[in-house]
Amino acid sequence: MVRGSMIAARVLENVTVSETMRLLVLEPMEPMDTPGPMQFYMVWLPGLEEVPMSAAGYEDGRIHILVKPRGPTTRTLAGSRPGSLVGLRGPFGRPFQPRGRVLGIAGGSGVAPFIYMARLLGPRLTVVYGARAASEVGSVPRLLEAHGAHVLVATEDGSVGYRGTSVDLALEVLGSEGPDHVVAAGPPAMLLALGRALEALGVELWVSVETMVKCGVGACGSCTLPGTPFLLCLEGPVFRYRDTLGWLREAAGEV
Amino acid sequence: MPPLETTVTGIKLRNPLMNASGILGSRPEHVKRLVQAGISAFVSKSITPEPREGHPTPIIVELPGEALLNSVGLANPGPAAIPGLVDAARRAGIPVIISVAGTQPRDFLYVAEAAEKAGASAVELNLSCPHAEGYGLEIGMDPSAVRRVVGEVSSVLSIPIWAKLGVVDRLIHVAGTALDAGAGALVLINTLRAMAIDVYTRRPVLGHGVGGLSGRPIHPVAVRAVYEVYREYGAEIVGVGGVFDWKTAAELILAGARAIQLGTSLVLRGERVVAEILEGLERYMSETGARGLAELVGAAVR
Ligand SMILES: Cc1cc2nc3c(=O)[nH]c(=O)nc-3n(C[C@H](O)[C@H](O)[C@H](O)COP(=O)(O)OP(=O)(O)OC[C@H]3O[C@@H](n4cnc5c(N)ncnc54)[C@H](O)[C@@H]3O)c2cc1C
Ligand SMILES: Cc1cc2nc3c(=O)[nH]c(=O)nc-3n(C[C@H](O)[C@H](O)[C@H](O)COP(=O)(O)O)c2cc1C
Ligand code: FES
Repeated sequence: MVRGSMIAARVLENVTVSETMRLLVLEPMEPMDTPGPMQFYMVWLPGLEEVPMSAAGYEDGRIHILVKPRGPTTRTLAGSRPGSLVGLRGPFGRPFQPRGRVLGIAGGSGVAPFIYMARLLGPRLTVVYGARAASEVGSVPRLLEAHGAHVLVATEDGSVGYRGTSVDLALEVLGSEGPDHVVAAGPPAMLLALGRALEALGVELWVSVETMVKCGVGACGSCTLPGTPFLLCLEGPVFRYRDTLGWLREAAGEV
Repeated sequence: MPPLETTVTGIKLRNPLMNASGILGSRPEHVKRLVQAGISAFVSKSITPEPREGHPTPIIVELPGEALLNSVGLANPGPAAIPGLVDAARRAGIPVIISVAGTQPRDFLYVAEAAEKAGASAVELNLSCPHAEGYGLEIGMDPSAVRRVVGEVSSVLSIPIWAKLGVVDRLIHVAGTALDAGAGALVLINTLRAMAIDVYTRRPVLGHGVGGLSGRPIHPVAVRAVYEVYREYGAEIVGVGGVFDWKTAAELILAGARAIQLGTSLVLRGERVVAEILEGLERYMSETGARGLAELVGAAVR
């Protein structure tokens, strides 16, 4: 079936991952394409809106998403009961398929695509996951480790793992090992801090960013990465850090 | 004259292919993408006097048979964006057509004047959007409203006016009215009012319920519309609707279109579709001994 068509899917499971995040297992009623790493779906809640959600896993045709409530649609999605129906379109975006060893740096729901990447890369992937406190960490490390990826946790209050930010911890990791690729997903302020630090070190950084995704197919233009010809739904969501700088500064409220 | 060159209302186009309004076209960043694809003129997203958020998502779904159903709802940045769009197209060296939408004559005039002032090559009056209440099709199906809108804009503007019409019952009459009132060219057709329902959730899929159908399935409807209007008036026509390859483009040209706009095929096939169609048209012309596009325009009409 074509990427842009709406496929109904049943919610099979809704698992609490942390105080702020739920993992949903969705079973489409018709076959859909296998997602690549960092690709995403448009998830429609009938009666509400359609929102972009990264593929956090894929097994036997079932699609996993990790939901962090932010507004009306994500709140309802996070509370959806097994048996209920959603609509899916996708997968959208360009798969990010790095060779060699990969260091992923994630904050908040930005960890979602790394859970899927862990399944594909196994021990080739190290993830630095940053959160405010232990309650936000929950079972995220276990989901990543299940497929052999290495996990390092940083909390701002030091309640688990390293005390500090994911950026501080990532810099320590980079001091001791030299991965082939560094890719990050999380809040704009975190991505900027990381980008600036890595620029100083001369390490190339790929970042997964969020712009407003509406059509997913390159028609409406709402996902344009400002100042570039790139559309997030076609060429993203992973870009070279320098291409995202203007947008990140805007999104972080710097300009 | 290179074989694929054409003109619409005196505007010289190095090939007959433009993007259709609403396929990107709301930001200067989009111009670069479309120019790289090979279009000969840039057509903006329809601009209204005030910015619009558009309809709630889902705003688009793909349907079988290379079709799209959309209810973007004329989401657009408003007239403030026009100078940036015009500059970007000018810098790329191609003509720029600003598409204009509104609910009443003075809305159209307000945006059209902004377009002329910014240096647009022409305006395209959207009299045919099927899914934004009060805009588009509700005007385009009423000959007296068409006369007022086109008449008011043409009494003030000196750049060419293209009127974009949808499929309505008395299309020939409406087309004649638009030409009479001062439209230099007609753009035919817009999407067709349509709906899709998800059978499991038992709901219309689009956030807005009703949307506009585009792509392959509407191509024969576009061919008929262009043919009938060309036969009646011999007018300058830009053909739009389900053009996916050189053959569907050639059909519209033979029906009377001097130029073609691409919407759904740009989305579903990607930007390479422009080069593919141009190569195909060139091959078709040399195979059939046509020296220029002008020979083919309306050649099927009798
Ligand atoms: C490529 C991509 C992947 C994402 N993956 C995940 C994920 O795996 N897990 C997760 O919890 N969240 C993810 N998000 C963020 C998620 O899409 C938003 O939190 C959600 O759209 C908010 O919708 P809402 O109706 O609940 O809240 P609203 O109150 O409508 O919006 C809250 C904020 O969310 C953002 N937002 C709203 N609508 C959209 C939209 N259509 N596109 C992009 N951003 C929007 C805006 O910044 C807005 O201010 C992703 C976003 C993108 C762009
Ligand atoms: C996503 C989308 C948005 C559109 N937005 C507009 C618009 O703003 N103004 C307009 O006149 N037509 C709009 N259209 C209609 C197209 O310009 C075109 O007339 C129609 O899609 C038929 O051509 P196609 O089959 O090549 O897509 C839109 C079409 C699509 C698919
Ligand atoms: S979301 Fe519409 S172009 Fe990307």
